[in-house]
Amino acid sequence: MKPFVSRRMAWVLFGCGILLADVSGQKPSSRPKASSVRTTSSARSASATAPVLNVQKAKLEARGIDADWPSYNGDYTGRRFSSLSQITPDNVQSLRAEWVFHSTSPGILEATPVVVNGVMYLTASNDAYALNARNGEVLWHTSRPISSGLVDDASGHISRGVALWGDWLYMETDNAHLLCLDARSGRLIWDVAYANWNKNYGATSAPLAVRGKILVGTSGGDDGVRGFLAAFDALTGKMLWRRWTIPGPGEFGSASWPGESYLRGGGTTWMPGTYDPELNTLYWGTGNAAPDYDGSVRPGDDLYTACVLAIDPDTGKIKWHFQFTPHDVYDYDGVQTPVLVDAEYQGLPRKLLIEANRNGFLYVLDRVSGKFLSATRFAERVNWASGIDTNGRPIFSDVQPSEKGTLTCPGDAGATNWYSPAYNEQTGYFYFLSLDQCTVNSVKPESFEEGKEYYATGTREEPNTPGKKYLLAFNRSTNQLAWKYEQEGDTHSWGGVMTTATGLVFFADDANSFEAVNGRTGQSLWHFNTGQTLHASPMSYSASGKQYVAIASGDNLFSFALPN
Amino acid sequence: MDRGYGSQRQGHGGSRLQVIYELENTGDDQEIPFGATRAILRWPWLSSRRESSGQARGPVLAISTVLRNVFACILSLGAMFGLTAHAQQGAEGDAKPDNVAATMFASDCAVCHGGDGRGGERAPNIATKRETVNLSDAQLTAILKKGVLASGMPAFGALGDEKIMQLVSYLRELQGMGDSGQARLTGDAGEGEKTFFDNCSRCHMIHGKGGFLGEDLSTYARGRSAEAIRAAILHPEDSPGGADHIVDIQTTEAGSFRGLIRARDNFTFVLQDEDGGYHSIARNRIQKMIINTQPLMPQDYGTKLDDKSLSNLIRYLQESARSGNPAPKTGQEDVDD
Repeated sequence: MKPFVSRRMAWVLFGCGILLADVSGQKPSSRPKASSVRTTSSARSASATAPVLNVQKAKLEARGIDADWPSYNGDYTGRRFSSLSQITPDNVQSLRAEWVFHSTSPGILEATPVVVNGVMYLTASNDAYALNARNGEVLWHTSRPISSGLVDDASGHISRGVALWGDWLYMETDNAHLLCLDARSGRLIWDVAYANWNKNYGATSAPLAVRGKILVGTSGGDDGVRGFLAAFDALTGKMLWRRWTIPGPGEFGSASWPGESYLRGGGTTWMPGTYDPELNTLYWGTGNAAPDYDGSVRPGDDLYTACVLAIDPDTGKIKWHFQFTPHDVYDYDGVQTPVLVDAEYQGLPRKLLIEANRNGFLYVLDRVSGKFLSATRFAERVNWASGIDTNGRPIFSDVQPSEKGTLTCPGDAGATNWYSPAYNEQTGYFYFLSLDQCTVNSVKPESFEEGKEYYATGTREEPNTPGKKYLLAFNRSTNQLAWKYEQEGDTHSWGGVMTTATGLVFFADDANSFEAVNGRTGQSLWHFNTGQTLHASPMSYSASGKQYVAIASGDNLFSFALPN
Repeated sequence: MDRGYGSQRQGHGGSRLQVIYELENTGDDQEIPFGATRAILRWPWLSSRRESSGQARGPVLAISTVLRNVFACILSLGAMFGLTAHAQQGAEGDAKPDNVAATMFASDCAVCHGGDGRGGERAPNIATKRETVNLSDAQLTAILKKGVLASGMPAFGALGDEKIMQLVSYLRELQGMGDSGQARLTGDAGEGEKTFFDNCSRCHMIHGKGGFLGEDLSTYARGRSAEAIRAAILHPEDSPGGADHIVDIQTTEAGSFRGLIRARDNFTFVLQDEDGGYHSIARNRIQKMIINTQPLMPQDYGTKLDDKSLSNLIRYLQESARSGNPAPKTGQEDVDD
């Protein structure tokens, strides 16, 4: 059999060092030089044999996001910090929408698009698109019907994006299939149903590609599935390992899971994790325990729910775990992005993990050992715990879901959620959106049933305490909030944050606008009304030497740039 | 005419990959604006003779033909791009109903699933639908025996084990995975694999190896008879996707491009080259656009491949389709420690 690269033998003559060459009306010389997107004429002479896409280790492990945004969070650290510097606090007022892509798939867009060499890859439900990142032209589109019979989150047919490895693209379908598509054509290469023994499984996340492996999790944590993280060989689709997040009988932590309760204990892995190549460690959050509000059937801490797990990507073994909310009866989850920051901590250089958790506290951990360093309350109202002790364990109050309902703060939507945070090394600030809201949580025992949600009752809004969203800047060196920016709106937005090397912070506000603020002060500098609620996190890329900032809103994706 | 890649052209040695580009002089020396091109190009591997001479062949393209071909190309690309771009052809020549199982299928199953198993008004496609094809013999047997209550599939347990086994085996034939259809082929899959990677893999992929311009053929043989596969190879012009045309675009200042048109609007053409590179070309920078008169899929396999090579190739495609999805079945078995 011929080697895998044989297909590259031909047509080298077309300047294949670029994926998307731009033959616009401009003269090449008038265009700014960019590091990875070149004009057609220069590419032909410069690198006729460079691969077209070929996303490999080096690209994904690079620290600092440049022209390309090759993975869900831009790089493995989860910082969403773009090195691009064309757009500055001085010129951001001129930012304008360059193009809009409209999805006709069922369900809204929650994806962060990925861009490599001028091509943007985006998912919407079970559809994948390749778009010209300069103007939104559809280069290819593959479609498969949405699945019927799904429950809860999966039935929203959400897909948060793709992973790239080599020339191939990976996405999860609503019914938890991992698809491998050829990123050049969109054709299906393989399709693995990776969670098909309980129909309450679904998938909403973007996979993560790490050193030839594709990592996937599932949704369904409110519906009585057993959470896991699985690694597949990027080339063959063969499953390499599966790490259950709920221990089986006899395993460490199994005391919380009597009888067969471990089979429906939740702890799902429904957002992409982060990765430290030097430590060769994945950091992956796990969701709430199931059933959500009835803790009586799962006594104890309910490992490994509401945790961040440090996992060896080669074996799936857990190196350490840290549980934010032991015995979670509030649906707090632990899947907010664990952001990897290298910085001085109390005078010593340290590898940190920072996570603003849905439970209302922002945590700083040592990511080598998992040691708890600090927790800072950021939510206005927190009543489930009075604080966090020196070991990182919450000091619980008596607030528990009850038959009549108990006012619980933060509420079930969390003091923050899956929408992205960002960390800017220059300001030293960690930026994220928070929601100040309480709900009335009730409990009523339920038995598990396939095809049905497994909350063991639910929540309702407390009409006397309306919610409020804030954009927060947390100063890592002082462990205090540097500033907060109160948002107008109905609290229905689920948009994230990103930051740039020029000190800008872009975020989705709570009144349909995409907005930029000065990262040092929180002063708003620019906004654009997208006309619909934002449920996605922003990113930035460069194509033909021009910086763009993009975000999905409703069922459209907007890309912004400065005028020429 | 300097295309700017003369030196690279020599680097590829084999004539199969060499591109010979010919322009027929229109007799008009002045610069030809886009749209008024009258030119032909030809790739030697598209011609009936392997070693091509420099002679121009085929008609001179008038502008209307050019535009019509571009349009046809776009249409066929659309067909090519579907995830489930399996051509619904080749029902003719499928396994012959000359046995008991075929008769049973015709009387018990066809009324709902269709005579060829590809679905009817009352029941789904069981011949090519992935979920069904991927079921094991044991799973199919269980469904036949017990039925599927929720969907109205009756239980056929009364037929007895042997007849059910025959039905499963017949269904496999309809799925292109049966033994009887392939027993007629004496081909050698190993040799066929070589033939595939010598001839087809530049555009087609099997289990992740090969090109991407043409259809992925990993499971192409599923639900297709050997005869239908043979016909598709020998007469690609009859198959969907077989009529994609290579387009050459010469721009005023950014050089020339060759590939397939992947997107277009009033302002740009997006052309994809064989390496997958996309080139977004502003229409007002296009000097000439030439659509190859011949489709992308070679039409000369009838002379290029002898009967034995063809049988080997078909056998390889069948074997490949049988090996199916490379990924394992993922049950709830523990594979971690």
